[in-house]
Amino acid sequence: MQQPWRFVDTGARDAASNMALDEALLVMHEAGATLPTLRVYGWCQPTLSLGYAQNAQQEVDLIACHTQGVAVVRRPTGGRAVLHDQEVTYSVVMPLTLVDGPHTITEHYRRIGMALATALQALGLPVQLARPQVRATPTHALASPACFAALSRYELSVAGKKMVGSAQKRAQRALLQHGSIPLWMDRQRLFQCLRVPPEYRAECVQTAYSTMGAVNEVAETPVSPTALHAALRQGFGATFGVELVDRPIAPEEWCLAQHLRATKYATDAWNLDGATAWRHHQRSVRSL
Amino acid sequence: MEFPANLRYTKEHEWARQEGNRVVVGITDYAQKELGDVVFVELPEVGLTLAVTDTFGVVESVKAVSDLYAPVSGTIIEANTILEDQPELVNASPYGQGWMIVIEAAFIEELQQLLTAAEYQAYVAQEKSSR
Repeated sequence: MQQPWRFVDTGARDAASNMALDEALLVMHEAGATLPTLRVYGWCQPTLSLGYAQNAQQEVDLIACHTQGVAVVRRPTGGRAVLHDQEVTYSVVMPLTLVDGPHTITEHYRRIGMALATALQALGLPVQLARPQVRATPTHALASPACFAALSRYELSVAGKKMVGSAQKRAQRALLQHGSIPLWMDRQRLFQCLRVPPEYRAECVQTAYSTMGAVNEVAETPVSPTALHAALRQGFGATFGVELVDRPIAPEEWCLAQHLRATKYATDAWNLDGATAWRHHQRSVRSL
Repeated sequence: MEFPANLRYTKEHEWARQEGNRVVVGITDYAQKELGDVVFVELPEVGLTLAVTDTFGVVESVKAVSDLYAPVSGTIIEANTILEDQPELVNASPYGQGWMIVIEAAFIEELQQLLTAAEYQAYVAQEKSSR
């Protein structure tokens, strides 16, 4: 009999707390201290999250973000920029070794994709799981630093519009995959926050209407965050063949998250200068 | 897929090549295929000391961010900084130009704990198979 997974809703928090919690959950599960976990959460302020290696200065209009009241945070996972606002964010922390099937990156994306598809289909969305295929190289005008504009392996779409933007980080024994499921989407705001040549901005927004989707733009009746939480819980349970039990975040996890928040995700060194610069900064701080 | 016989391997898909008391490290052909196009490689500073299985860096591909683990304990004496501008070398030449670091080993005998090419090949086959 498989061990259960934990389901937890940590509510709407600030950007740094959200990322710190995701990393803390991965670290603790990697250490064997916790159950696999499906977490759902939200954002108390619209936030642009950047992929691990993205160059913030080159790709983000920081002044526009400030003016718009959009926070900026760098994820522990890769990929491109995502604007989080009216959405449900999911994160799953689980072992690299699946009970049945290959332990490959593609298989993990496929399984988690199936769980997400099951959830969205249960809410009445005609969602499709995209199969691996070669993508044409985009022209400069459409070469967007935004994640949702690219349909990659095992991603979910409705009528060709990408509905979920996910990213994964793999450690030695466990993985973290998290993703944004927008309920509503502000494409104008996204491209205002990104460094896009002004002459291409309108075209990017226009293209985004056909490539980027949100649940309540395609659902027949509006879907609430609560309904999506319940659907996700059922989707993951059915796909992975596990029971999801309500368990809180443990004190040790909160403690680690607070530490990661203070030393990493709330710092300009991490968010704006990048991972390499942050590590140099950490080492110089420690040698004082 | 290549599994050079003169290398040792980790379960985290790094390879290690002994050169006297030095160990050259990279990620395997299987790892680069699995990851897909590598877009970013973060390597440690020269002079950093590591214990075996410590994280020495990060690789990001179009599919995932993945930590990199030291196959032996020791001191970083070289890092392949060309990968900062040409991360695609990891895909094109994982055992050659895509090398990542050189460690001056603290205990060179730690290499014996690693998998041989045959053992690693079997391990990869198991990882890829359906049960």
